[in-house]
Amino acid sequence: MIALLRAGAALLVVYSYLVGLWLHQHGADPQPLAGIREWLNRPLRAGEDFGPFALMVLLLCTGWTTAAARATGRDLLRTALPVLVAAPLAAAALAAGLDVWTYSPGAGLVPLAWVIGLQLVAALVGLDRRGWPVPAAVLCWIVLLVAFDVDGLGKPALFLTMVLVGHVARRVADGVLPGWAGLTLGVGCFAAVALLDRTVDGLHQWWYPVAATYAVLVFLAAVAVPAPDWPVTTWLADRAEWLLVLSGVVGFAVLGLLHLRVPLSAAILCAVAATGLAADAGHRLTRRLTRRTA
Amino acid sequence: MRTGYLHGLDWLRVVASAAVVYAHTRDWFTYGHQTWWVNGVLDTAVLDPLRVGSLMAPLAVTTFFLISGLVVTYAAQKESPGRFLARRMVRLVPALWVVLLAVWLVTRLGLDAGARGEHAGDVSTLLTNMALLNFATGSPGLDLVTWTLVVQVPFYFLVAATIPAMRRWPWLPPALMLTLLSVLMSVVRNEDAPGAHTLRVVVTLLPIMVLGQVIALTRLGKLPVPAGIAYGALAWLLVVRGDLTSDFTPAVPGYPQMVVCIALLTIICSRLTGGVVGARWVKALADRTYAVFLLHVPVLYLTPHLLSTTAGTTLAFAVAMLGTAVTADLLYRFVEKPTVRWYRGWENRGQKSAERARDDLAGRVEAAR
Repeated sequence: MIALLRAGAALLVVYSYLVGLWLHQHGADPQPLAGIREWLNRPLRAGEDFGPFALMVLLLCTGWTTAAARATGRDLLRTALPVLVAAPLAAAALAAGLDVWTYSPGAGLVPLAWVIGLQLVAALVGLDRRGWPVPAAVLCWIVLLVAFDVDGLGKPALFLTMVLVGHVARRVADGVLPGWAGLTLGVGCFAAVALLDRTVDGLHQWWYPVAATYAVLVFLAAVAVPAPDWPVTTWLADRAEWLLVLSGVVGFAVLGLLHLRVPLSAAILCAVAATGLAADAGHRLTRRLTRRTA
Repeated sequence: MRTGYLHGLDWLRVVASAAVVYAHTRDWFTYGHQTWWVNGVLDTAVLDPLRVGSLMAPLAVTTFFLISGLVVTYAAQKESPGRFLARRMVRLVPALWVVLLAVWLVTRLGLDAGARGEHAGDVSTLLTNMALLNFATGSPGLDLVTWTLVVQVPFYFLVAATIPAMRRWPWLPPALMLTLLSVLMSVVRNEDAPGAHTLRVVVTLLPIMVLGQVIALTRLGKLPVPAGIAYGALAWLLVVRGDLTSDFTPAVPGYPQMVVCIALLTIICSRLTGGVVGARWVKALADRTYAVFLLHVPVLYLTPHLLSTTAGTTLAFAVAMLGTAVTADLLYRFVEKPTVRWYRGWENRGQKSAERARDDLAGRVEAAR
């Protein structure tokens, strides 16, 4: 089911950080987006068009998979490559006067690069074979973060708890950790989320504990269920990180170029298709590079 | 087909039971303008981050609805419509009537057991409450938590009516129920009269029980997972529609959010086995959740009053919980369990032991409320 979860998360990332965000930044609220917000986002209280929820599911899956197998250098390269490619691409697009998502103050050229950073951290967490020392240490670090008022790391720290939950869930499923220890660490992660939500400036308004609750529940409900490997889910799951970083670069650039020339729906379709093509190219590049380093 | 006992749901019922008792205790103190330190701690640590501050009681009741929808669907796989209905009624009605009679008697003695209304001590009040008609007529209520039965009983009738269809075409009963509820939701819009409001409550909350049924059918392998997800989404959207089109029902901000979380939690818990969830004490507590549900409000009103609030909220709470635990255990041991035993004995009269229906209380499938 991990592939299906990653595929769903990848789709939601594109929907949120390309379609939803671009339309929001340009003051547009067309159907069916408005309907989805009215009938799904508001009743669920899931903000930002499911973006944070999707990122959390992705990180839960990362925690699960890195706990299953020790990450190698190739895995680290595979994880980091999307950002290494997207950052110069974004710089070039900006230099060419194209529309790129860098609007959030201090977000840098690839605003979602921190998610990739957390995936690299997940590889380190996965080195912990016993299952509890590293999650416990990270939870202590989060408490210190709050104690010393380091607001800048608040959001990544909150999302990092999802990596821990995925890691712990896998360790419990494998029988490495007893259920009570897993539950204790899970409650610790929830406490950390609640603590960060209350204490870090600017986090409270985003309702991340709600998104985190959904993400964890969906993950736990689905992860043990066997699911068929459909080509579309495999395709999306394999390219999830590329879609994540390229939505704000390729997708925004294409949408910015086309929205005044063609109908908005056609521009969105073109932007999604271009992001998909770019992600596919990125995935092929990853395969080629990792094959060479093998 | 997996029809094994769902231990995780016992655990969930115990947690939900604790939540509803806590919520009503909190409300009791709040209405009495008293502060209780537990409220502050729980609000800060759990309820505020999840944005579900006022949702504890609805959270518990929704959990009961979902679990009930799930487990009665399991039970419906083995029972004829008549037997299904009779068993549900035998589980529900005797305990309900005993509690209502007790509350009515206490009210007639001039004590406050939570009954509301000028004529709460009248015989007509007792009779209308026993038939759950007080919610339709607006007459005084003796034990207000019994409103949940007004939602559950119609669901049992719907399940019984669709048992033959469920065996042949498992996809049909949820489709029929959701269609019926959608039509009713369009029709029942005015909630001014008590009966109309009650009907609206039933129509708005029944999709949650259908959601439980869909989870059960999917778990049993009678619905493919994508169909289960689609039906679940439709049932949830009906809850959203009910919320969007009424100012009074469910009248709880964030209710659809909670329904999704509980549905997911139910799916997760239904897979849990062994360890704490399979412990005998969890099963023993779960068996008494209906009794706790019926009794906690009357006991909550009685005990702190008798004790006087000058003793402090924590002591008053402890006494109320002890009173609830003792009376619930008595109700279970001397009313619920013997009635079910007697009924099963009557059901099995004249049959050889191999043909006998298994006792619900000891059976593998929980014939829950």
